[in-house]
Amino acid sequence: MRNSIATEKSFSSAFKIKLEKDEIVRAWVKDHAVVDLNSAKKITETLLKITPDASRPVMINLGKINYITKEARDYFKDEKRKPSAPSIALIAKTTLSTFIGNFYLGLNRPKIPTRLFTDETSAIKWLKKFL
Amino acid sequence: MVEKVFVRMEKEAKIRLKKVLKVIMDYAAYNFGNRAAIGKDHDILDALAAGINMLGEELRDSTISLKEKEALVKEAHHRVKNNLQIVSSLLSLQANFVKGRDAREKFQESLDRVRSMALIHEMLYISKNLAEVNFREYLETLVKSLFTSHQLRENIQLKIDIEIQQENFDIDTAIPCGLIVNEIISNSLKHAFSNKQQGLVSLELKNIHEKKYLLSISDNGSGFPKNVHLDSDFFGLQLIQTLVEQIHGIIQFETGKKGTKYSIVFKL
Repeated sequence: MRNSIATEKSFSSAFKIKLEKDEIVRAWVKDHAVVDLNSAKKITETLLKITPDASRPVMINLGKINYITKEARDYFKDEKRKPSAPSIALIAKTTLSTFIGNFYLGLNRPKIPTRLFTDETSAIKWLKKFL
Repeated sequence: MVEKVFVRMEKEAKIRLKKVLKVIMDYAAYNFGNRAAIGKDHDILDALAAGINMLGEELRDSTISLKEKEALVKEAHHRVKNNLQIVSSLLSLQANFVKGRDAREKFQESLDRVRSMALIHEMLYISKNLAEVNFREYLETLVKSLFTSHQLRENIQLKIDIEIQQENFDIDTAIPCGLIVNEIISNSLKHAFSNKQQGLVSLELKNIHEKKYLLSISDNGSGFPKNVHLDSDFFGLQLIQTLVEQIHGIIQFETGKKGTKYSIVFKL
């Protein structure tokens, strides 16, 4: 079931989340945030609240992320966890966020299509294929 | 002025790198309590620190998981050894109620076979390598214990010549080989010297080529009765054949008035 409201803002401990008119959910990691298990669970809950059928692609801007904990990585990797999107684009523009993004993709090997981008335009172009 | 800034930056970078190296050394020593600090600049050294921390977490998890598995395997070997000891005790008890020398001997033979297997699990339990035994050590212990259990006259001597030093054999090879040695030597000790005042049992094991080994066991006793060969209807000989097949080996058997010799070639 798609949410008919054009935009919706939601917050979790390390993320800011917003649904845009183009049906792509955008999330931002807060500056210097450490994405821990609590944040991982909250973002998943929030995404599923916005799109219960997980049909909207998600773009996550890693911004100035400080770290993602082992517990959070394991949570995202857990096969029993219900997917919250058909695809995820990660935006990384700093050395640290690029490294964290690549490391996460390499170690975790997400089950749903997930790619790392350096700019939003390319990311949105790719995500629109999943709408 | 600019130069001073660069010198200071280089000094700071070196300090940060040293701290990261210290964390790597700690992880190498399986000490996962330390973590590399990630600063606010989010530069390349921060990326390195984050990477080291993440790898350390994965390594710590794998190490714990591996240690748990090792503990389980050790425990399994311990239980198998204990169960085989129970079987030994039961056989031993049962033997007390059996009438007739022949029947008691059969029980003793079964006991020896069970003990040769239990010894492997005992060695696996105490060794660091949970899947392989030091075969030299195993053979020496096995053969000496056979000599002790058969309570021989002092003039029956044992000569062991094992050329291999540190080779480890996996359990699938060690157990059949142990049973073969047990069978052959027990047979020699029981039958080869009944008409002789003195004797010699020899065991040799050498590596003849890469993973190929030659196991030779001989005695200078009175030999098998005439016309006995490997396919003869003796349980012990049939068991030896079966075990040699199990290790994909080839056996040669010679027997006569001057003694008996078994030569077994097998490959790991």
